[in-house]
Amino acid sequence: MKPSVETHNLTVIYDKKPAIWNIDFTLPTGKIIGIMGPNGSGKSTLLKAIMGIIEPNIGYSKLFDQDLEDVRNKVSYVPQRQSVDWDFPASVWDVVAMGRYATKGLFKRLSKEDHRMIEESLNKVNMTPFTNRQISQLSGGQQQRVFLARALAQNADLYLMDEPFVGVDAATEQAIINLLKSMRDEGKTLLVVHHDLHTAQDYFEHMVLLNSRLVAEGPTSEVFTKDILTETYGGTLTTLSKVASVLQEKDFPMRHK
Amino acid sequence: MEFFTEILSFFTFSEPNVKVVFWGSLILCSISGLVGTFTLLRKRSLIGDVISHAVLPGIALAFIIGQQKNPLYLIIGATITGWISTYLVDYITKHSKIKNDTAIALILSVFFGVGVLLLTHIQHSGNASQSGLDQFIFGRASAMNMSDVWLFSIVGTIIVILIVIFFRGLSLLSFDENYSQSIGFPNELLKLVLSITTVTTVAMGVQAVGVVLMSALLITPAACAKFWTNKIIPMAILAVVISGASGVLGSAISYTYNGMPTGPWIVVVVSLFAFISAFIGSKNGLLKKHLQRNKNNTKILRENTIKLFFNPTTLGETRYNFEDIFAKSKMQRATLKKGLNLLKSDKLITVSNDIFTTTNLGIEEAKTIVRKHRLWELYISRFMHLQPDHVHDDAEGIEHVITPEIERELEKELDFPTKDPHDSDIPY
Amino acid sequence: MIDFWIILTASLVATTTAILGCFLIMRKMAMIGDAISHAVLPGIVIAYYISHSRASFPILIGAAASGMVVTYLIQFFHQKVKLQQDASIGISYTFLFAIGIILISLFSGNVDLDQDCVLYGEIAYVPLDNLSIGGLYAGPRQVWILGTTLIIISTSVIVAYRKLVLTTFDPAFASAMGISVVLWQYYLMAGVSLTTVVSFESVGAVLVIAFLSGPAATAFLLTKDFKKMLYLAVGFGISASILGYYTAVWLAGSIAGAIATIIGLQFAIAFIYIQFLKKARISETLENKALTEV
Repeated sequence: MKPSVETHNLTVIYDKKPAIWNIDFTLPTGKIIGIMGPNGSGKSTLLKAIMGIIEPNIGYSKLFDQDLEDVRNKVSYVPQRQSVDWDFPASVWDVVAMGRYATKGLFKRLSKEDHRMIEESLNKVNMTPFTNRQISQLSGGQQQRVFLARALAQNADLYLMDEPFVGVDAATEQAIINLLKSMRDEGKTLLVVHHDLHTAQDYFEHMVLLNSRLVAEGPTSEVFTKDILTETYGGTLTTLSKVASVLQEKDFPMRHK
Repeated sequence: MEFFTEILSFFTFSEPNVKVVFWGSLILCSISGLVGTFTLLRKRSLIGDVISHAVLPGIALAFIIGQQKNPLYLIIGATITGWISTYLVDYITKHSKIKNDTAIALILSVFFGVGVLLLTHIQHSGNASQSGLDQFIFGRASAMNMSDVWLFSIVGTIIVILIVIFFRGLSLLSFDENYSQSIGFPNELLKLVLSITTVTTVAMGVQAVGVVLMSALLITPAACAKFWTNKIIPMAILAVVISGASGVLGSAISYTYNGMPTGPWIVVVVSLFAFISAFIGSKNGLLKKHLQRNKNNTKILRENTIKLFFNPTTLGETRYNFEDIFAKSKMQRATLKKGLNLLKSDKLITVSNDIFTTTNLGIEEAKTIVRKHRLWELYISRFMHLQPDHVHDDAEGIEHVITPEIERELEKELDFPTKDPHDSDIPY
Repeated sequence: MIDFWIILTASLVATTTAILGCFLIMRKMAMIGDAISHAVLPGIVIAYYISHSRASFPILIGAAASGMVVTYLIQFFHQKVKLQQDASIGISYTFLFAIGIILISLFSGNVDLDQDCVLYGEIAYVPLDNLSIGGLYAGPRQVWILGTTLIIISTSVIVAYRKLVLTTFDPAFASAMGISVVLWQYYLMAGVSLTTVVSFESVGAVLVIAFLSGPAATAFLLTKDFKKMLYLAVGFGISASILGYYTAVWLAGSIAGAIATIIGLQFAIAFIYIQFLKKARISETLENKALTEV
């Protein structure tokens, strides 16, 4: 089976800090995979670097053994809910319809099939009654559901989700995790950034533990151990930070030919 | 040449009015340099833009009410509408979903529009002493008189005193607003002091520079200073000096050419200071960056060349002829020659009969760079769980970055290791 | 007839700017419009001087050149020498604008431009500069230029509507979909530059910002649907043009200044109305609460 995500030496330096450094892993398909780590450990940066939203200083990633450009329509990205301005004048339907734009050209109208996908996606996240609601009038949990519906409408094989459980109510959290499990059962791969250690073990079958560098990666039963967690949450590597800061301050090339 | 003699004649104060222009623009511009330092650090530069456009309706209203050009009325009028504009920007941003930049653009242009409507209304209604209002749009320093200068000195002194009294609070507010709040500084009062001084400065400054370009006088001098220092006191002093000098030079040029508005010349002069600072400034200046890069490249070349002379078995002296060392290296011929010359002039190697021999100094250098390389390989394989075959490339780059201090830290953290991940010895 | 041409000119400017303004303010880029509208001045003046005419083509080239210079300067200060963004914008456009004003003073006599016109335009003179096609009266030249611009801008927006909305609302998602955020940013900036240059003669450098930000901001307060926001903004722009014109006639003042004043009033009324609605809604819920508690 092809690996879902593969990264090689992925390194991003940001603001004189090593956001992620030398990340090297290969992830399986058809699993719910958690990306765990303390605040500022580069979880979001990792997702963005994989999706090409930020250019890594070094390294590259492959999705399903191919370059991102060749499999883009099989991959869906769910940004952090707070990353957009919810005052934007749009309805729930408008936002979910964005999930169908990728396959459409400039002029092509949304087909019956597209409309069906949008409705189905809304139904899966229990947002059908809110279809025409303005997005500024939604609660945090509802906003997150809209983002998920947009991702569902993309009908991808791999989903990269940035903190989908932040600021949502307990009912929404349960609904989301059930949804993720049913997607997994359909063979989809879900890569989820998460920070709550209490629920992690129940939610994820596979984990990536991150603290700027990769601490561990593997099935939850193997990597969710006391030692590994201590190492993940036990503070940053000060020497690494110092090196990164000299690197940026003196404008050194990371690698030279 | 004639240009310079004309400018020089300005500084001889041969005409009585020249003195007024000199002192007037010096005072106005210096104060805006001082106040601008805080607005720049608070990242509120564009607020200066709002205020400077928004004083126009105040000036027009003061003129309508006073029926003549009375500097005190004009400053009061300008201060009032200028202050209302900043208040409105904050109010709109706070109480609606309108974002800050939209509020700034809207208030700036609408206030200016009202000002233009009022000014044109006054002009068309044929008021006798209307002339002289135009000067507020682009500034005309030559229109100032001695009583203006006295007024500027008094108001300016008050502004300087206010800033000196509140200096510590204002600095902290500018660097870290939240921290200032947390240690119990009266943030609201400080903000009020800053907004009053800013608005008053702008209200006076438009006499010399005009409403359209006044914001440059708040932004540019402080930005110049930022290329030279990060400390607030030297930064404020430098901004004042640059701003004052630009003010005097700019008004000298415009005074020499009759009919030239002052504002644009002051702005061009201060912008030139900004370009010069951006090129040669000691903080982030281009030249400095360029030199740093050259230094880095030399360091990398030097270290990569001496590394070729490392003797893994005896850790001692090595001898090579050029072709041998060239075969070992992955460098271009010319690059390698340059590297060898560097080593020679630093006495790391000696040359005789085309044979390169390491000196004691060279032996130590070679050991040091290999040690750094292998320490880093070990560090990342241990702490980042990387496979031994994945660490070499990273270390090739980082070995040049490791300072002696970081090296000691690595040794300690790795407990003075003897073997790298490829099981080679780490030379001490 | 003169009234008609002036109002038509203003409405054409208002419609084009309102459309672009809706995207600009949602992207938090209103001040970039400010920078561009000031910075194109030196290019326009030099083009006037060289071509000795108000011919549109050289002026467009001149403006485009200074537009590129300001973009480069902002990038130089912000990225090459790490100055904060607001200051980078501030330095760059004031410098270019100052150069423009100096050039006008130097060329005065040779250039048919004056300093005031630069700031608030000369819309009142629009009907004096007419175009004739084959000897037939074809209306003011400005109306033709602005009409063409309106067609270009609205077609470009319709063609790229989805991409523009997507990159505005959620740039990270758009870029994950493979849509270049930077490309569409430049597309929009090109539209803003073209519009500011052609609107320059009629409304000037400062007041074009009122046209760009005002109607869009008022519409944004009143609607929660982006398409409606576009239509509303255009409506506010046109109505401000009409009301502004008659206000200017009544006060014997600048037309562009009066239109900007009306744009401000429209916003103020909408803002107060929204505040009032909010208060009413809050007291209503309080009352309901009180009732249920009783």
